[in-house]
Amino acid sequence: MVLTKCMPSFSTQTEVTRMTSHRYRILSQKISNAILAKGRAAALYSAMARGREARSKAFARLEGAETFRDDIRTIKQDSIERLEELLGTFSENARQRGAKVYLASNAEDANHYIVELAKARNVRLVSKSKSLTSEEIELNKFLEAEGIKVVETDLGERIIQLAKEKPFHLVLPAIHKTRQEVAELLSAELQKPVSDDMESLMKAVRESLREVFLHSDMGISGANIAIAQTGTIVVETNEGNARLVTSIPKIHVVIVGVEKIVGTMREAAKLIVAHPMSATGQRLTNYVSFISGRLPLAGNFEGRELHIVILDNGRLRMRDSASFREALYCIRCGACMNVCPTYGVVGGHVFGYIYPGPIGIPWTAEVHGLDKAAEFAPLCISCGLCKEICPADIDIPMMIARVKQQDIEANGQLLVNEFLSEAESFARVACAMAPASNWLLRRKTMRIIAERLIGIDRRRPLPEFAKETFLQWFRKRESRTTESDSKAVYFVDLYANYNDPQLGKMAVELLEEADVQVAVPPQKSSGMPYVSYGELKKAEKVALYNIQSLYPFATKGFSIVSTEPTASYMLKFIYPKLLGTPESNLVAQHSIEIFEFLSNLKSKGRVHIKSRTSGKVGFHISCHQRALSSGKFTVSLLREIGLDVKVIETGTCCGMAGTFGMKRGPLGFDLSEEVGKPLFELFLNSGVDFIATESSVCKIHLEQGTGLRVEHPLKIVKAAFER
Amino acid sequence: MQDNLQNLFADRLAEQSGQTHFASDEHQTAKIIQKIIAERRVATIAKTSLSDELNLELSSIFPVLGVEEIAASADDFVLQVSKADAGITTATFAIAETGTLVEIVNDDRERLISSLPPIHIALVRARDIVPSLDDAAPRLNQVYLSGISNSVVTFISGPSRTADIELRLVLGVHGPHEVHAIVLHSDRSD
Repeated sequence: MVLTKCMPSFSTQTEVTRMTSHRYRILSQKISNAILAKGRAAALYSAMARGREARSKAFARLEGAETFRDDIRTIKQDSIERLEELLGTFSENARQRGAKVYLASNAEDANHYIVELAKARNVRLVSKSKSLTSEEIELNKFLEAEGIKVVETDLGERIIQLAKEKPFHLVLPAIHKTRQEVAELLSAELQKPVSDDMESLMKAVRESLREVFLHSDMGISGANIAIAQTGTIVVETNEGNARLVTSIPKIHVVIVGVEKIVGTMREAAKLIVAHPMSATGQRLTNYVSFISGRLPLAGNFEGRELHIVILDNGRLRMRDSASFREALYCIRCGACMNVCPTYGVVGGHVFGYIYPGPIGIPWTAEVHGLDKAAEFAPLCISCGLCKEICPADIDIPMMIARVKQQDIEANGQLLVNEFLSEAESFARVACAMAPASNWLLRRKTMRIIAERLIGIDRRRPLPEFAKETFLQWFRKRESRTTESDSKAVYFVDLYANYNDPQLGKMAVELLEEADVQVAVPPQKSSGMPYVSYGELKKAEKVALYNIQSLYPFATKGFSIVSTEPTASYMLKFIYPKLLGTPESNLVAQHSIEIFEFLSNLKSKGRVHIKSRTSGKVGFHISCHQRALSSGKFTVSLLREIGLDVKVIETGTCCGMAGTFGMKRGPLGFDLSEEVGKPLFELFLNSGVDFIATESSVCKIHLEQGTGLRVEHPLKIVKAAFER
Repeated sequence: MQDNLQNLFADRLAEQSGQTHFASDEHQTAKIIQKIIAERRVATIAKTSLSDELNLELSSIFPVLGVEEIAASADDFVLQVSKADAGITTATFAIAETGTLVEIVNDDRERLISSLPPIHIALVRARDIVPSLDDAAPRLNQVYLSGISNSVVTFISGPSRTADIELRLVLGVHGPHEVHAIVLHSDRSD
C-alpha cells in the first residue's frame, strides 16, 4: 500500500525496460564473478593503491602543483578549441618532413589505410608498441585477417594478447595475471617450457621479442602527443619497446587520435610531466621520444617510410557536443581508474569495453556507441572522485550522468532506480505514518517484499522515520526575526529532515546561539539520486525549485549552510552545471558546509568552546566532502574540543554512495560491501572508540560494516559549545 | 652551482636505477669505461662518434680487454648491435631535476646503440647539464629552428623498466638493464 502510493509515475514493463533488465542481469552476473575472483581483486587493489600513493607523493613534490591541473586543462582546452588550425599545421609540417599524413574519418577508414599499406609493401610481420587508439579500431584483427602476424611488444600487452583478453587496467594491462599464468602462456607460445621465476620469464620475453623487433617489416606505434609547430610525434614508454618499433622496421606507422595535437614544444613539455605523474608517480617516463620525420638507418634511406594516421572516429562530433567535449581533454593517464571504487573491485574486463574505467564510459558511448557504454555505466556510483583526481579536471561524473540519461531515454529505467530517486516521496509518507511505518520496515516479511518488489536489499538497515519532520518543526516554532549581520539559510536535505530532525534542530540552535539570523525557506531534498541514476531532467527540476527558493536569500547575503556534504556539493557544483544560470552561480558562491561556517564564526569570536571532552575518534571524509573541504574544518574543531582525531581513509569511496548500497544484490549491496571492506578493516584496526562522519549514508554503511558507533560531528561539538 | 647540478642529476638518475660517474678528462673517462666493461665481461661494443681524444684512449684499452668493436659501416649493423654487450653514446645535454640524458640523433643507428645492448654508457659534458625541463626548451628549440632536417630526440631517464607482472620491478626487459652516465670535465671526478 505504502509502496504503491509513492510509485505513481513508474513505467510499466515494456520492451525497452526488459532490455534494461536483461543488461542488468548480465552485469550483475559479471560483478558476482569478479567478487569471487579474490586473487585478481587483491592484485588489482594493490596496483591501484600503489598508483594512488605514487601519484599523491609526486603531486606533493611537484613545483607549481597548485596551478598544475589548471595548466593541463588550459593546454587541452586551447588545443581542442584550435583543433582545425593545429591539424592543418601539424599535417603540413609532418609532410614537409616526408611523412605521409592521413586523416581517417572512422575506424574502417583507418584500418583500410593501414592494411592496404601493409599489403602493398608485402609486410609479413608487424611489431607494435602500446596504442589504445589501435585497440579502439581493433586494428590487429584486420591485419591478421590478411595473414599478417602482429606482435604486441609492451610486456603487459603481449601477455593479454597471448591470453586473448582485453586490458584489465590501463597502465598495467596484465595486472590480473600471476607469474605462473604468464609462464604457461609463454611456454605455449614458444613451444618450450618457461619456468615461472621472474628472471626466466624476462629472458624468454626479451629473446622472443628481440626476434620480432629485428625481423618485422612494419612498426606500429601510438602517440602520446603530436606537436603541430614541428610536425613531431611524441611516444613515451618505460620499457623502451617503442624505440625499437619506431627505428628498426622500414615502415613506421603512427596511429594517433586527432585530440592529441598540441601547438608547441612548450605545451608538450607540460604533458610529458603530467602523464607519468598521474599514472605512476615518476618524474618522467623512462623513455620519451620526439620523432620528427623518418631517419635513415646506418646512412640508408631506402624504403624507410613514415605514415601518420590521424583518427577522427567520432572525436570531431564530440568536440561539437557541449556535454562531451571535455572528454577530449583526457590524457590517458589512468588516474581516474586508480581512484574509482567499483572499478577497483571488478577491473577493466567488467568496467570497460575497450576504454576502461570512469573516462571509458563517455569515450565508449561516443566512439563505440551508447549500447556498449550502457553495459557498464551503471557501475558508476557518482562518488565524483575521478573528477577530483583528473589532471585535466574533466567533469567525468557529469558526462557519465549524461550517458545514463541517454540510456534511460532509449531503454527505460530500472524500477529500483526510479524508486530510490523518488526517495523523498516515500520518506514523506513514511514520516506521516510513523511509528507504524518504522514497525513495518523492521518486519522481515516487509523487507522481503520490498526486496522482491522494488529491489531494496533486505540486509541493509534503513534509518527510522520521524513523526515530525524538521521542516514541520521549524514552521511550527515561534518566528525569531532578529536582524543580524550574520545570516544563514539552513538547507536541511533528506536525512536531517525526515530521519534525524534532531540534527537539523541542533544546527539551527547552534547558529542562533552565535547570533546568526537563520532562515529555512521552502526546499526539496538536493536530488543527488536523480544524478546518480541519470534522471537529469528531474534533477534540473528540483535544482530549479531550490534555486528559486534560495536565490533571494543569496542576494541578501545569506550563506547557505548544510549538515549533509552531498547537499552542499549539489548546490555548489551540480546545480550550476545543470542550470547554468546566474542565479545558480550566486547560490553556489554562497553555499558552505556547516563546519566551515562554524569555523568562520569561531575565528570571529562568535562561538566559544565551553567544555572539552576526550576520546579517540576516527574521522571518515565522505567523497563529496573531498570536493568541498576534505573535512579539514571538522577535524580541527573536533581536535579543539579535546578529541584525539584520526582521519582514516583508503583513498577511495566507502562504497555506500547514497542509495546505491541499498539496492539488492551484486549491483548494489554486494558491490558496496566489497568496496567497503578495506575501509572497515582500517577502522577496526585503528583502536578508535567511535566514528565521526557528516554523511548520513556513509554512516549507515560504516555502522553496519564496523559495528562501531557513528556520529555526525555536529552532535559531538554541540555539547562542547553549550555547557 | 655546477657541482650541485651534477649531484642533483646523479641523485635523480639513481632514483630511476641509473648510475653516474664523474671524470675530469678523456683519460679518466676511458678508465671508467674500462672498469665497467671489465667487471661485466663485455666482449663486443658499439659506439657512436666520440671525440678523437677519447677514441684514441679507447683504442688502446679495447684490444687489451679483448673487446671487439662493431664497425659502423657493417652491412648487418642492426643484427650486430643486437648482439653487442654494451653501447657507448654521447648525450647532447642532460636535465638534472629529472635525471635525464637527452639524445639527439639524425640516424637511427645511434638510437639502436643506446636501446639494444644490455649496458648503455652515455657521456655528457658537465657544462651541458641544465637544471630543469624548462631550461631544456631553448636547447630543443635550437634543434627545431635550425632547419627542417629530421631528427629524433630521446629523453632517457634510466634503464628499461617494467612492473607489468605482479607489480615486480624488472630492469632491462627490452633495452638496457644498466645505464651509466659519465659526466665529463667534471670538477668532482671519482
